[in-house]
Amino acid sequence: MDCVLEVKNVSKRFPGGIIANDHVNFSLFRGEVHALLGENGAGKTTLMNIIYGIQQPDEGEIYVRGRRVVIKSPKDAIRLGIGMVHQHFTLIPNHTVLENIALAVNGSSLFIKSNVLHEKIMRLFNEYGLSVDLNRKIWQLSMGERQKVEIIKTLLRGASILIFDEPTSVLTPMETYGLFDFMRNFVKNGSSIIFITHKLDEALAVSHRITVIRKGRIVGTVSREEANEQVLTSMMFDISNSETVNNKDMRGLNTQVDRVPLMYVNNLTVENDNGIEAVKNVSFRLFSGEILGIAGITGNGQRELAEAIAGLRKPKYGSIEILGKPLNSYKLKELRSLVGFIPEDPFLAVAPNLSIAENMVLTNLYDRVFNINDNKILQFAQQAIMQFSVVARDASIRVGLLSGGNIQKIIVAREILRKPKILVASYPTRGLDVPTSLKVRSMLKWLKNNGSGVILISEDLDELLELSDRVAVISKGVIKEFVSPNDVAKIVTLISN
Amino acid sequence: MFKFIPRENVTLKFIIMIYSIAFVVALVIYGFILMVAGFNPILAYSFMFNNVFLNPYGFSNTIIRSSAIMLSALGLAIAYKAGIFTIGSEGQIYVGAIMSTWTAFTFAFLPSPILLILMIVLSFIGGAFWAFIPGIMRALINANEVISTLMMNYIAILIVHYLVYGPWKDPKGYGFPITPIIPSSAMLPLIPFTNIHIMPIIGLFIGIILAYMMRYTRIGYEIKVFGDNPDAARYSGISSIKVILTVMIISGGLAGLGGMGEVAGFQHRLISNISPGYGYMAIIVVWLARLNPLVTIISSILFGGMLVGADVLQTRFSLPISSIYTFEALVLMLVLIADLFSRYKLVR
Amino acid sequence: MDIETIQLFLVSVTEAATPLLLASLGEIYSERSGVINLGIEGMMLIGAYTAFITSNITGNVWLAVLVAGLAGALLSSIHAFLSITLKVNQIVSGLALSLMGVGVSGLLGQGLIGLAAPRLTRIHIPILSSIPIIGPVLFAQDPLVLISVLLAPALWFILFKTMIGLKIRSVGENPEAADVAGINVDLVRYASVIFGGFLSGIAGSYFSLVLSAAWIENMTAGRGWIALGLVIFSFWNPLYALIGSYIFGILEVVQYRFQILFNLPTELFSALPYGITLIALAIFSTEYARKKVGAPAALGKPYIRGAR
Repeated sequence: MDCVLEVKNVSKRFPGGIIANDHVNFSLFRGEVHALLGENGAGKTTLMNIIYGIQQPDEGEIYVRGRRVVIKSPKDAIRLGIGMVHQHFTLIPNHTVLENIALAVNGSSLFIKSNVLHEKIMRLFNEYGLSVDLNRKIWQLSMGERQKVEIIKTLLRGASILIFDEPTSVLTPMETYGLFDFMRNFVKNGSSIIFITHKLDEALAVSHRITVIRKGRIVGTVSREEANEQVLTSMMFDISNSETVNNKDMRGLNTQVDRVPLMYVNNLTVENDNGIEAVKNVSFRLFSGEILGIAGITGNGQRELAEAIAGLRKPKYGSIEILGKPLNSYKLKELRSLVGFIPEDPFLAVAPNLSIAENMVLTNLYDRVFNINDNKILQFAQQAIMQFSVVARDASIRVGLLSGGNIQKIIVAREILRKPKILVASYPTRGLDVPTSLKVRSMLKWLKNNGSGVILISEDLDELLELSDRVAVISKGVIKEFVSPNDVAKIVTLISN
Repeated sequence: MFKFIPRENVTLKFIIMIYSIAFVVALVIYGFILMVAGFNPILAYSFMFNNVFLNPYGFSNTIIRSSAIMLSALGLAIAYKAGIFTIGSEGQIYVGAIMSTWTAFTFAFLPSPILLILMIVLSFIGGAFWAFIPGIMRALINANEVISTLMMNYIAILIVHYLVYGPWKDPKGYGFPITPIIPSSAMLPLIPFTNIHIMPIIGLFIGIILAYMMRYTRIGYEIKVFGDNPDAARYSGISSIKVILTVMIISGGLAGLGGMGEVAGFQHRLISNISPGYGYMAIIVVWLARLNPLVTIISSILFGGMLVGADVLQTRFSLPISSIYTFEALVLMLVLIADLFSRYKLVR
Repeated sequence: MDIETIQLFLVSVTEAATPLLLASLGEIYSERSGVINLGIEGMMLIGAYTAFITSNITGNVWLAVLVAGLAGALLSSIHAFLSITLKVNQIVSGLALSLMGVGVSGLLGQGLIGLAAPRLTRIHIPILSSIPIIGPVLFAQDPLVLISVLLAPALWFILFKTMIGLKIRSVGENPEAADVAGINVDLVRYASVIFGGFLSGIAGSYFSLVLSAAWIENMTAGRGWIALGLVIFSFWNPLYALIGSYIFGILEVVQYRFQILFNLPTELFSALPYGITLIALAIFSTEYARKKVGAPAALGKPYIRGAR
């Protein structure tokens, strides 16, 4: 079998001790669709960034068609025939398809319309069925059509090795089938595709071989014939951690009879930014004194669910009731003081040019009209800095000067220490070192024991299992089941489906 | 190549040093331009300094001239903190001037303190209204406030133009575009022992109130957060509409008061160029002061001084008044650069 | 109303429209690349000054026009440096530039009082200038009129049909995407801003070489600000700028000639361009309109690679 791309012993470390790629070996054959399968944070994107020249490896070598190469930038990668279709498109919404393609490909020509370019595009349309209306503006196209434009751009640059980074996250099921058709067609003439994904079923649907990566290390490579869901699941998730499980007492669903429901979510359907339903008909209750864990791979509706509960996204259908009143009867400031929110994107939750102390008031604005700068706030800030080991001289430092991890600490500290009745925590330990993560976990338990209800969205299975009283698994916008955290195997199965 | 990295330890001393260097460089460059134009810069500078700051008459003129600039700049400080780049102070001054003139003549029968208070209220409302229109456009449909306030400026100036050449023209004014003098009950009282009207003092008080508002009240906090990170503002429940309208009303109303000061305190009538660009100077003043309300007051007085100096130089040396704009522009550009260097340092 | 009066009227309109057209064509390019330049008034005045003094010294009118353009380009390069490289606030930088232009031209213009300079004379193009009514208006004028009228469609073509124009527009819409596509965002912006300054300088020369026989301080009298409004009114499209500048020109001429006829205040006509621009801004800021004919999406925002 002809090897068009080979990665040998590549490692990449990031500051803070994070090892994104650990002595990775990976090979790509001619004419194959090769899936790189793993959870978020497993190291897939880093590896692809290295291959595409966006990042440099700390050690290891890359070989393209047998020759050792050094890829210092995407330009080098493109010259070697490697093309990447990113998850987030670099298209200009107000320009037409043709203009976007011309911009990427036709830099040295005089006019936008050129016969040569037109011919090349037509050839692609015919060969791969990638047709789009060249004269429509990008904002008028569906996500699937936009992706086609990105693919055309990449192909016109002469790519014979295509890397797709989570391409189906923005597509409808129909569009996904279309994409898979394209992939099968594309590799027929000897080109190759690397397909990055976290979805088992898709990897199985279209790949010739599947490589599983977990926590920076390659677990193994299997051919399509050898692979099935169980095999892949056991490769993706380490389910031998039954120690944590045994320590949990059986806090089943029975004892909730005497608990106070803080929140009702009824038949909630929420659309994402592209108008597609990300949360579908979800219902649940949150009780005081519990942590409800929401397990699932990122991109299955967690963000939209969290934002809807936090009052930042209007649901399409359904209702949410907070502390006995409908969510939309609250003014947002009041809601925020009752419902804490640690968002996925920390930059939503801080004002970078204000001091740490000033940022501590951000979510408690409801009952303060004067005295926004008094001693209590300063003390609160100092308490937060101390308890969460924030690396900062004092509370008067501008938040923007802190490192990403420390900004996260500030947000988590603020939302937990102010003891909101309800807390929605999305990936609260993301970017944090181990000691702080443990501190956050214990503080979440403290919060719960004080009577608050916590919704914990996380990809860290250990964290979910340790902290949750109940676990709901979300997949493609639907909550499948409520499971006890002891039932690890079931949780894992539900996630990967 | 070169890169800018954020500077760590920015002490007040350093900032003052950098700004002073910028000011001196501006003086040097402007001195050079003066030489090219055939004037002696050293003579000009010393004359100006003597007559503006050391001379009591010059000094009181300075304060008077800085009045409208100061009030507008204080309002702009708030608006710019919210990230709303209104340049509409000039037009708002004109509208405030219109309102105070109209009030002065229509309610001339009222006793002085009440008439003055009415004029203050209506001038504020007039200026605030003039800012409210671009404000609501920005708040609801995100219309660019730079362009909208610029257009409003021109319309306001034209309205005054129409009034003083038309229905409000002083029949005894020899055809000049001026209204009759306002009744003495409508004139602002003077600060005791000076011939400076009290509007700058009102400005001083307002500056202190605004500083307090920004630092200690919730609305001040909301303005700062919105200007810093609109996403975080939304996250915390701050209403962008409320913030935008608040800052526009404050900045418009204050500029309107500035207009009243010119009519009721300085000119004692409405004239066609009641503001020779005070509103635009306010933008520079507040930028120089880095949006700090108290520094803005000092900065406005400096600018008032420059204007008086320009007058003085014109009388004595026939230096055209517009030349002072060059100096202001130089100072502004150099301060912009200085501000950059105070925040970042150049590294290879 | 006889033919004579109509022709006189149209000639006045072209004289009013031409500097507006030139300045706004330049600013359209600048804003299409994402940089708003409030310094047009200042650059026009500097252009007027350098044109006058060059014409006076050298006697060569076309050299004077060229020098005026270069002066405008030079001044706008300061604005470009401040707002593109130093990433200073574009509004403040542009205002400083405007002030600078007004100030320097006022200062140096002192020396021009009482002087005369050769002016741009009218050129009669054979045959074409004999066309009734519009003949003398377009083809028996100073050459800048025709140049500006031909420049508009040419600049439209370049902006929308060539790769250069596409690059400029891309940089102004989405600098990240342009950067990824390999375009030097800063370079394109510099070029656009300086080009805009060049045309503004030439627009300024029109005042001192055609419209006025002698030097008057502040002779542009706010036309630079009208040009800014015109850019928006024409939705950043050179062809619409052509139409818009002539509409504004009509309004300017009308305010003096026809005020008596309709007994309306001249200020109303003067205010119309601003009012129309304001309404146009309101209409075209809505989300719907923005998608169809909006401002360049990245207008006014400095581009920092990798910034949030």
